[in-house]
Amino acid sequence: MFRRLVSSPLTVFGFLVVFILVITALFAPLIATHSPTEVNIVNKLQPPSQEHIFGTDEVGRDIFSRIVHGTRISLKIGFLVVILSFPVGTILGAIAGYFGGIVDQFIMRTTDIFLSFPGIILAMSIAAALGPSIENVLLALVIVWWPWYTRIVRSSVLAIKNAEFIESARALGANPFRILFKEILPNSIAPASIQASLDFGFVILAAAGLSFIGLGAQPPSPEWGAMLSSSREILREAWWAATFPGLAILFTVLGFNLLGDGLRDILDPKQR
Amino acid sequence: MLLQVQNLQLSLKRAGKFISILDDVSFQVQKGETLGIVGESGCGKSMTALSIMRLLPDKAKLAGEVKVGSEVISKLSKKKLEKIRGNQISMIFQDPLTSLNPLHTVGKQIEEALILHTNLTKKERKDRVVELLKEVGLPRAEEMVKEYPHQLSGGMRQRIMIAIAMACRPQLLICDEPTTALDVTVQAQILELMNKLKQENDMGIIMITHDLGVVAEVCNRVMVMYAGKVVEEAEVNELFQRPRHPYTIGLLEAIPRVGERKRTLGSIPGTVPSPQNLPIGCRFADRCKDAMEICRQAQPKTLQLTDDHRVACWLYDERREDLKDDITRNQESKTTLSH
Repeated sequence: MFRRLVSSPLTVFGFLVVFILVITALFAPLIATHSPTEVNIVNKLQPPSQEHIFGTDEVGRDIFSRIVHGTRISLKIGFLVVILSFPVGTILGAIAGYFGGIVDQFIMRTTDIFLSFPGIILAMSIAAALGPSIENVLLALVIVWWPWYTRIVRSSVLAIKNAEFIESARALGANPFRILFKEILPNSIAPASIQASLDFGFVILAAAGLSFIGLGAQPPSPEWGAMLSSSREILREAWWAATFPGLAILFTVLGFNLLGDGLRDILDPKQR
Repeated sequence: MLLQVQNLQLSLKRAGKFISILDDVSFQVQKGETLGIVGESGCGKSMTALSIMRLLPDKAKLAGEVKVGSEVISKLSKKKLEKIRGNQISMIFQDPLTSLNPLHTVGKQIEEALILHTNLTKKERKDRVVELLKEVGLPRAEEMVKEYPHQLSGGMRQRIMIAIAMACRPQLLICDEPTTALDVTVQAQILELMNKLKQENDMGIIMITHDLGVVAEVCNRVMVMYAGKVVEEAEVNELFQRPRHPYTIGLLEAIPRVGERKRTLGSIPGTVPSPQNLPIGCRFADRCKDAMEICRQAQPKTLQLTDDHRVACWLYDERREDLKDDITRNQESKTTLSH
């Protein structure tokens, strides 16, 4: 598996980016050169220099340190949203696919309701209704995200539920839940877990987007979307205030995407 | 009597309508006996086996009685039936590759049967798994426990399937074409193994197959099915020497024999009628070279020719002349009525 991972340079790049992000998030206070929230009006809008490598913002905070601390917020959101919506979506999808009939109808029509709105619009309205805060963004994204896993898992369960080894497990006297969790789920989880690895990036992007329009993290917080938002007015005088948080989002999403693609190639049974 | 199946009727829902798959199937299996069920694809052999275990699709309608020993299992709840499956009655399927879960080790899959039906401790289960692997004739049993199905050959995999089926010492083993996917030499070894296990454990076997060679080798009795009905049943030598039903005769003529050159192989013209569209009379009538008028008008009764030979065919029914008159009279009265 390791050799397959290394054989693709893009996957290695993605892996490195994600690795650096995780290290940065873990050791943020040690890596940051300044406090992320300390205001220093005298130093405002400094271009990148030796002292402030990414420059300073409109109230003189060090942008590099803010981005470093922002890594924690973004990764936490990405991780929590995926970790919470994945099991919910997976279990519901497996139940829908395996039991079929009215249970299937109920679960799948519920996912249809969620999927009939564009995800970001639905997340926006949920976050707006709950009130702007990073916790509510997290909740809104979980609500928007689980139906995707449900659909993916359901279709892979449907594909294998008539396999002969399922039949022979039934002939052996296993009850439906044992069959579902021991025989079917392990065989149908791979596509959904690849989607989950790709989703880390998209969740981070969506959370930054919600913060950008003011529904997520609030201003003193070093969240990347919020930083982008507050740098809009000074874009013409201080290019660095918007560019570096933007690049942070870009590389994070790209890194997770490349890693997810690499994982898909490794886990895809057809390529074995 | 180990297994007694009486008047099994099965219908499945296809496109909103119930269609009859099995019609009045009755048979029995004794301890230490192998019953062969033969017939063309789609004649209901596999469905008969699945009906015994009630491993049917959700929308199946099943009637009739299945008795194991003195217990009527056709009335049991799903929960109680799960206790019997894999414990008293085990099943072996056709393709040993697709019948094993590719993600679990061989050892784990054999152990599963023990987890489900016994109270053995982990250590005892592990020992039993190795014992079972040895019993089904697999070399290096200790290492094989940790191997995955794809690392083994077809014959080895079928031995694993047998080990799983034998794990709880079942009284009855149902084999659904167990050797069809294997090559001939391996096939012989597997059949020999099953014979050995049958004798050691005094269990009954139902062998579903379309290979009359397999029947000749392992079965004590044979039941021939056609379009969801039993057409003939006899002791194995009796059936091969004195087949009565024209369908059985046709099947036997279709076997190539070594050393024969000139004879053209017999074949049965036509195809099996579809279950949606079954004839009123004998279901084989349209393909039968001996078909008479009555065969198309009424279903033949099952006749007990001797103690171990029964057949459902008008050719052997003495009443056919009388009945013929009855039927013609009935039809005449119907036609007069409609005038």
